[in-house]
Amino acid sequence: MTFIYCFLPVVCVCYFAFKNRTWRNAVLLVASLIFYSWGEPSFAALMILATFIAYIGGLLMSKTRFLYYRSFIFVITVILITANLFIFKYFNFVIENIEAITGSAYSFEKIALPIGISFYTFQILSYVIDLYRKEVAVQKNFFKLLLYVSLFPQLIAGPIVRYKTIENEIDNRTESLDAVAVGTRRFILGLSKKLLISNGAARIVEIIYAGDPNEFGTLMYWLAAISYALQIYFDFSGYSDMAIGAGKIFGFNFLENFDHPYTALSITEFWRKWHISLSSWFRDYIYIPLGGNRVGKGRWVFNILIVWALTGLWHGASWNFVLWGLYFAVFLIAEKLFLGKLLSKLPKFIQWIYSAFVVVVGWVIFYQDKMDELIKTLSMMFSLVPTNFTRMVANDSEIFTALIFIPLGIICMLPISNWLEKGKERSDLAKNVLSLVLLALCVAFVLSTKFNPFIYFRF
Amino acid sequence: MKKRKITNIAFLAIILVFMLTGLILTIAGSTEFLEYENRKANKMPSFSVQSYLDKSFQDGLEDALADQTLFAPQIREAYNNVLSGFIKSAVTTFTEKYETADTDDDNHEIYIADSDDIGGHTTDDSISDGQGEQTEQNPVVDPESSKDPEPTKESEPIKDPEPSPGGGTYYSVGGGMYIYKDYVVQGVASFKANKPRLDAFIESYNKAVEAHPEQNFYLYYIERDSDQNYATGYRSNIYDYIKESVNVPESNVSRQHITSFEEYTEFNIKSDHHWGYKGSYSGYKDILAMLKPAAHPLEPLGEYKLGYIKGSFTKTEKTANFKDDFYAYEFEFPAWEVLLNGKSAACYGNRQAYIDKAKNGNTSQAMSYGSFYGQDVGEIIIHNPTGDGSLLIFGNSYDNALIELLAAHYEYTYSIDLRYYKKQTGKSFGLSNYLENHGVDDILCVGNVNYYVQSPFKIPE
Repeated sequence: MTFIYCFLPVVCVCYFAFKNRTWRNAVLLVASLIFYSWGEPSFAALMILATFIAYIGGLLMSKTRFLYYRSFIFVITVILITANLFIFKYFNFVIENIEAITGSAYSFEKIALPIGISFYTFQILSYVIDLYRKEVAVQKNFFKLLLYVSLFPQLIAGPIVRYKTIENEIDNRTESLDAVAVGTRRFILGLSKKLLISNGAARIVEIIYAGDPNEFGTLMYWLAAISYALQIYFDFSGYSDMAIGAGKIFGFNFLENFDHPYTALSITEFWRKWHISLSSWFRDYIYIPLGGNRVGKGRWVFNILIVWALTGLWHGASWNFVLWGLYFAVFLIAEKLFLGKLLSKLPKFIQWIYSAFVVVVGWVIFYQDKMDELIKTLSMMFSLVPTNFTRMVANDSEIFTALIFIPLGIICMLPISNWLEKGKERSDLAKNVLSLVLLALCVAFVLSTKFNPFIYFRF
Repeated sequence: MKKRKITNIAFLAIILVFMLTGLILTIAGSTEFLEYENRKANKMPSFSVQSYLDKSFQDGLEDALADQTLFAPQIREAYNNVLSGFIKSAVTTFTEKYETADTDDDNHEIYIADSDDIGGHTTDDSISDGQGEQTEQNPVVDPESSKDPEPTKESEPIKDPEPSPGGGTYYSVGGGMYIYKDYVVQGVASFKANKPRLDAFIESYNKAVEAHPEQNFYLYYIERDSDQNYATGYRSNIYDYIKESVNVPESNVSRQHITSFEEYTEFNIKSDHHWGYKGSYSGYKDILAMLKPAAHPLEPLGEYKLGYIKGSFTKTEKTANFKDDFYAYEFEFPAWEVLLNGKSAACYGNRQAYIDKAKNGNTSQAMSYGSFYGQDVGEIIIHNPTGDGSLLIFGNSYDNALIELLAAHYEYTYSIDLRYYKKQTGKSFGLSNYLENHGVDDILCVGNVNYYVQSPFKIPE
């Protein structure tokens, strides 16, 4: 409510009230800091501090002529920035594991996780690494670097925008009426994905996983797994659409983060289409520096396992995320070694079934962060427990409304959403009317229900 | 190109105007009360660094925007109606086509909270302002009791001999409420979970009986959905326990005995937790037969449809679509004086005014139980010169429909709602003191299960 009714319109009015680039950037920076501090005021200082470390590190790197010093400053900067992420995101996890292994209990106060820390840390790291590689120029203005890190459209839920993507746009970008309209429509599309589909699918997940497994049976457990796959896709891609749309309103062109991943015919293809900014970050900054695939088979397998264990861990400080990452690593290795060739000989529908099956089971591993719950859920999915439909409906009649979202989600995961923006033959009038209808539905939804799960609190 | 530009300008202008209007309305805070939700509207919070840091400003702004923006209540009502309508029709279709194979075996027991709202929409503030409908209690599902239909041995009440299972299934709509055969019903009050507070009420009642032997004490229990699961026939039997436990003659204790869903629908409505006009009239006749066996009950002069009611059960998004026609009987009451919290009033409630409207053809108005029979009032005194004796009534809002009917037979009728007495009169209530000041003959406690298990209704000495 606050974002739609208050924050965004006020920021737009203030932003376009100025013609000067510096003032417009100032409006965006202030707005971004307010946006971040809105949910947790104290953590804004942490983000500013991490940016300041990168800023100082960047300046020092650019000033030294000696590679040794440059590398030293680079390593120190990366360690400090990563330490920030480690302390706030992984420290509790490490201590808990030490406690579990040693059987001793340490008395320590749990550290709260600052929202969006994984996203902005990776953004800051991309600046520092690209600067070290001399792929970008040093940013001498701290506020401009802070604007890049804190830019509100992508701050909380991505995509991970690299500094080089918007390096030029911080100072030289053009805003236009057309871009504002296109950005607004994209924002509304993302909002609709989140509120109208993802939240609906989330209710099914919540109802089924909270209920008695013997009443829901195998069928409904599969339905819950599919629903979660839809929830996370429409949630995540919805936020990405909102970020890309809001960025466009202010003249920024963020790269696409999703490319209809559920139409993929293999896991390799899925990861080319899913959370593109994250997988390309790991590819460019971890996988390739480790040697990528230009190494022996054994080392290559090791590289893949390392990258995917880290990818899993990036999503949350819990073993199920590591397991989830390694699960995909196994399929990626298998596809590269033999499975890919085998699959390519099969009909496309079978390829799609394989890909969808692996991904859906993967999301169950992602969702269930307790091992006993994970085992229980997978057991239900791979056994034959009948569904007691009457009891299921009786336990929560809202399952009726929630079930609408499965077919809706399946239809909308296909590339039909391109219709809204990419269909050249469509008139702007039709796109605008459709966007207004979607916005009205979103407003009705947001005014009427407080059910709005946020799945990025661990990211 | 030009057309495209105009289209985009119009598109952006519509969004910006709509959003900014919402913001300006929120800052202005023009909406005071939300009729549909029966509560005060949230307003723009005042800003301070502290309120920002502790996030109370952010939360307050979110709540204010949700209440003050353009068409917010209407949008919410429409959304709830659509959602509830869908659930209602889906449940009905499912029930007709698929339900027969497996009927409900869960008794859906609930713990009755002391709070005074259903669905979280009614607050004490709105009641004290005299605005909006007043509701009774929110039956909060007690996880401890809901899965425990078998009472323990030492707390087991005497079983009612005639439970009547109606089959079918209770479909949960959350908040301890269910859809059953096109009605919104509550779960059964758990005897075990509610017993400690039930015992506390009984103790206070017995103490009052013992302390005032010169008065005649009566008790009337209104049975409804919270006493029996109509699908399984399971009963809480709380009434039987009360009857066994109170120290008054058996003839001074009675109930509105409902043994089946068909009887329930005769006396109650789909969308509200209060009883219907037939239920309250039947209750009145039962009570009068107990208080004054020789007296003739008032006979209705006519039966009128006054409008429609979307009562307390419809204040949640999944049940918003339920609605009933509001019917009432017309009675001829004697001329009397009415004091509400010590202030003289023309009447209690608005029975005749609404009936007169209906007689003039206005039969489509939105009605509520409280606006017709009268709101919950700390103290009501009715002086009827044609009556005989005096009656003191303790009850919850169920007695709102009874007060005038019973007052027609007594010279003085005193009605006390212990939830509001102190708040509205500024005085603490003590029974001994009250009887000393008013000289009462008969004392009646009346209400549904909520009355007997909620702490505020214990009779103060």
